[in-house]
Amino acid sequence: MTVIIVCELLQTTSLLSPDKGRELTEKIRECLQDDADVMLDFRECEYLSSSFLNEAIGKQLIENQWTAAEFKARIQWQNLSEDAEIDLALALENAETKLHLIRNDIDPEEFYNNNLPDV
Amino acid sequence: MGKTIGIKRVLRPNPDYPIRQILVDTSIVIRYENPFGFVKADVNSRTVQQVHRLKSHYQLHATMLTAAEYFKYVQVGYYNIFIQTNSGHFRKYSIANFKSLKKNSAHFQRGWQLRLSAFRKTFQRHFPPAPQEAVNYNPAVFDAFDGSKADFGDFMLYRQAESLTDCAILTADKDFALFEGNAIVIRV
Repeated sequence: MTVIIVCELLQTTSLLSPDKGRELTEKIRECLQDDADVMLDFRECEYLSSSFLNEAIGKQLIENQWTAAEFKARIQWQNLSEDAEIDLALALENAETKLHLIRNDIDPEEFYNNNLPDV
Repeated sequence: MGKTIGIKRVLRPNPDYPIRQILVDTSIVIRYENPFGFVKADVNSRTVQQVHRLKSHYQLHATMLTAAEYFKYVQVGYYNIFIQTNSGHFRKYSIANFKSLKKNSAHFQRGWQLRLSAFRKTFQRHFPPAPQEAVNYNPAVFDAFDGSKADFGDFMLYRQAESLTDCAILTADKDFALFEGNAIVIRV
């Protein structure tokens, strides 16, 4: 298993931008191509945004056409706060929904526009 | 017409406005939390950064009405998405359908528990409710609400901010500019 110390790799403790998520995605992709399972170590992480998680985590699930369980079999994580654990679980669930839509030739943006209530 | 300002005006070293606390509108909570992964990535990350910067200068709070509005958004949104992606037939949202799924579908229940955990986190930690003085309601506000400019949640938020001398609203909703009053509205 390859351990990626996320804040060290990305040289920041604020994991907010989708660009940073893409950098992590690239690294994870390399590891997976080498057939290694991945452990994401979030030590010293101060902030996490949903767009970072969607880019780094959600897109891996969609790209590999995994279920959340298959994702967890290949990619694990540690040193996440309780709040961030919830955010990561949501990123996986939302990615599973998007993958389902894509498989059924449904445009996710149109789908959400039609199914989320106005506030 | 009320006063609407940009976020930079309250983040510069000597802001012109005597603001101590900021009440967040539901539009900000949705952009920040992105509960369905639907908010555009740049909007989400920009909102997270803006909220963190504002938090370093001001107290940021939700109100219970904002929490209730956000809860309804998550509840109906989760139901609609679940039904559309997991069931062969669409059933229009009703609280009875929602309760039935919660009782009879373990899959639905698991996802809903996750949404509830996220909801609690949002208002316990990210946007804790405003101190009591900010949410005291005067029954007279019901007389003043005619529904012409915005919905009731927006109206109440505006009135609450207006009743306090050191309070502003943070919103992404342009309807707030329609209110005629003294509250300061910060648009992102």
